[in-house]
Amino acid sequence: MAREKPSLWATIGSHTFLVAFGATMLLPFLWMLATSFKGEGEVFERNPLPMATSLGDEGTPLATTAGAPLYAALRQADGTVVRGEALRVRLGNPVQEGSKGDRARTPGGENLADDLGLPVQLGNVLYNAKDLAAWGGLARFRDPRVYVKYAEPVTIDDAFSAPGFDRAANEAAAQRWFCERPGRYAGAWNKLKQTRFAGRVPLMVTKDLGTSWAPLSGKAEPLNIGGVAVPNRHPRPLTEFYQFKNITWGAPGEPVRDLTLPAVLCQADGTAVRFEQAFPIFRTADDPLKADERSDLIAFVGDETVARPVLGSEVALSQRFRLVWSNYQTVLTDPNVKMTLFAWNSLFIAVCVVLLQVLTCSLAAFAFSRIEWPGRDTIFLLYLGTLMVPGAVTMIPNYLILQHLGWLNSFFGLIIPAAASAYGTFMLRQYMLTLPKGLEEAARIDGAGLLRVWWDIVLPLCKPAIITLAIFTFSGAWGAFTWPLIIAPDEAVRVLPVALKNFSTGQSTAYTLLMAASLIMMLPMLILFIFGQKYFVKGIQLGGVKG
Amino acid sequence: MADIKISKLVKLYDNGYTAVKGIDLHIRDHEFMVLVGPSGCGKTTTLRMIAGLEDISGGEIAIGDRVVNTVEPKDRDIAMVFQNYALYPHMTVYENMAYGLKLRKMPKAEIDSKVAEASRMLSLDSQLDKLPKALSGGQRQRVALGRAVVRQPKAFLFDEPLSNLDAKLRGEMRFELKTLQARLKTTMVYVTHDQIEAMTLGDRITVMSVGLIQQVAPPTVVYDNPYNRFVAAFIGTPVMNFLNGSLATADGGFSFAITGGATVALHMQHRQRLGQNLGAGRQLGIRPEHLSHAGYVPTAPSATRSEGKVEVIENMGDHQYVYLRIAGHGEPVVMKGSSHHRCAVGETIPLNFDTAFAHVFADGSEHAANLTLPDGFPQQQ
Repeated sequence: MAREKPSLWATIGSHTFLVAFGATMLLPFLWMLATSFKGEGEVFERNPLPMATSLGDEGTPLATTAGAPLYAALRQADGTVVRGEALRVRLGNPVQEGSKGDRARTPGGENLADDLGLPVQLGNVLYNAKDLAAWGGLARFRDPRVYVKYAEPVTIDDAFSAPGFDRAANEAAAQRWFCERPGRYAGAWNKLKQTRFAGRVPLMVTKDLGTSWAPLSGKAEPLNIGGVAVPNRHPRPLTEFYQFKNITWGAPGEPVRDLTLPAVLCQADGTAVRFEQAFPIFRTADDPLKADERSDLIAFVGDETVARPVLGSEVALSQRFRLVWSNYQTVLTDPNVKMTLFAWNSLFIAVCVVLLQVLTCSLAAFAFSRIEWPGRDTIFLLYLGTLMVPGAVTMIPNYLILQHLGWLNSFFGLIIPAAASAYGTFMLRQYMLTLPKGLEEAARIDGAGLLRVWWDIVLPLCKPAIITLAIFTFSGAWGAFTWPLIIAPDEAVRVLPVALKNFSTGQSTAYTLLMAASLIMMLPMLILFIFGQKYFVKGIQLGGVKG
Repeated sequence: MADIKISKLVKLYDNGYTAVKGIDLHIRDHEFMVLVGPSGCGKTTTLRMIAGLEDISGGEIAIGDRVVNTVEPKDRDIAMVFQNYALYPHMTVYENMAYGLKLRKMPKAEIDSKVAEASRMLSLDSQLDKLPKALSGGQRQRVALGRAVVRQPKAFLFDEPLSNLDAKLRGEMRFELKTLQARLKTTMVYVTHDQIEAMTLGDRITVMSVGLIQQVAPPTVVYDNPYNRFVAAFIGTPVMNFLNGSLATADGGFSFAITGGATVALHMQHRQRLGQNLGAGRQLGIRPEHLSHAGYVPTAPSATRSEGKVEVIENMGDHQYVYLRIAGHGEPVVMKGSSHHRCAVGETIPLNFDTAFAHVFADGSEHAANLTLPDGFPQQQ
């Protein structure tokens, strides 16, 4: 009786289900692919595709909420503040990614601080701490998408000398701060003062220094800088924040965005505007500025190629699709990554394992299937029984054996234990059993010995099974992780899967690089699968159905 | 070129089954010897022991002057053609034929000339570059033959080589084998269950059953003088008719009283053994062609007549098989006669027994002795 044809809806339904299921299976792979093309900061963003985030265009003057451009404040000899150039958004290089303790750097990668965490001179420019504040330095924060970027010309140094600003008190406070610090900070003040700042005031935030450096959050009176009242939220020496040596932008545990940069900026009409928030207050489409909300901001959008420091407000956040190929470039060419070395190691090991395993398994399978000898089937069953012993159980004994042989950290240790397998023997044996015995007999009568029969007749006829075994073995050897990790941690014999672990440190994982490297590692397997698909299927049939 | 001497050959399998129970056989040089018998009679096992593919459990086999019991197949200098051809599927026709020579480290030029010669002989010249799967069944069989021929072995062994072919091809291949043998003049041992192949191909036939040799003789001798009831029943199509009855003397000769039927007079030359075995429980064996419609043979003596009721008629054109029921016999009797000897189903017709060619067997058992053979008639000749 012919089967009833399923209804159209059943067909559509089942196909939809299957396609959806297949797509779900693909999701992790697609995530890998997308991540490998993302920038460092956008790994855990909501955008599934690699998007460049930008704020406005390059060269656009920053504006206040009202739309008026912002100017840098310049102090003239007579003490009056005039406006300087308009603040422009400037494209910059990516921040050197770092972790706590890294140096702050310029976009060019130059250190902005010395060993003591004190600012240094670069070229003709003497950077003082306040410049760094305006620069924002260059370091990465706890919030990975926020970078401190370079903006110019925010010369706020002079603002600190504005009327109402107690320079002496600040200087004294800074001095005390330095001198009160234990260890290497002690005495640093004099050095700073003499050699770097030539008497200029390096540090300033607080108005009332008092006797304590305890935070005065919420209590401090506003600073009057250049006639502008600047809320003094966090009366701390900037130095503390810009302690690049042990980078903590803000005190430990304190959110970065709480930092206050008491700077002054001019508007077109010469009036100063408040400029209070140093760090990330950029808004996204989800969180637009409200009509009455002021945000004279410095915000930075992190991206490896297009990084924009922004001072101002109402700068839209825009995203566009782009692929960060440099992830792949870094993985492939960066001398620190050594991808090529590990790939060769992996390839060498996988090829050796495949060749050896095809050799040993086919010989064993030949003996188990085509030669009669006493106890053959019993021994085969015992041999097969080893398949039931979990690999984790044999790991320690194997390790000890290898240690005894002196094969730790050597290719021998990686190759020899994998040179034979019960599964491969089983699979080839099952296949060989299907070959007609007559061929072998004909060959023996033709004058072939056992090895001749194996080499001339059985091996060529087992080609499908051998290719299947080779593919399975290659994929196993190529992807092996635990065993190489245990016995061969040395760089000279490290394999790709183990090397991938390098992208992850205790503190963070470079997902973009990790995914790029993972995909590069998957490539041979993908190619193998595309060309050897039918053998994969055959292998499942051979190993699963028969026997 | 060699003869093959088999003595007291036994094959005992691990599971206790005895396939060959101590046979003696001498296959002469240049001889085409056919081993024939039903499935499980041990003929293939014997052949495989000659080839060296099976261990010999007892007795010995000598090829030429050399006892080969422990000699590897490759060192026995024999060639074998298998039932399923056993061509190497991954090699071309040329490579298949050249493989054995290559293993013997023969120079390439020599291999080429031998393969060319063999392929010409077997009209495979144009197929040399093909893979076996591209060939027809007959061609494959010829390649298998060619593979054996190029080696110029001491003996050829054939293991039912034609059984996978259709009837027409089988006829052609029989012809080719026959001419091949005439040309090569090599000892050939040929195993088959098909008695037509046995009759047509063999210089001599060895009929085997239950692991024992029943008779060894040229085909005509086997046909005309079957050594025992088994041979009589196995050789000949349709099979010989066996009729139960009793043997008695009559008129200075013998007569056979068919159970439930007439008594027919026997015209036998060798009477000594018959005389010793008078009485009931005997079987009369007579081939279908030695029965005829008595109505069309008016000259036949009435003493050799019986009658039977026609059940089935198979007309083959030139001749016909008539299946007759003789009262008291379970099996119908087959008569082969001219298709012009008309009769109708249901009709009871008179039967003429050409008793000069009849055989009397000691009893109805499978291997009952043929009493009509002269004393001392050799089982192997």
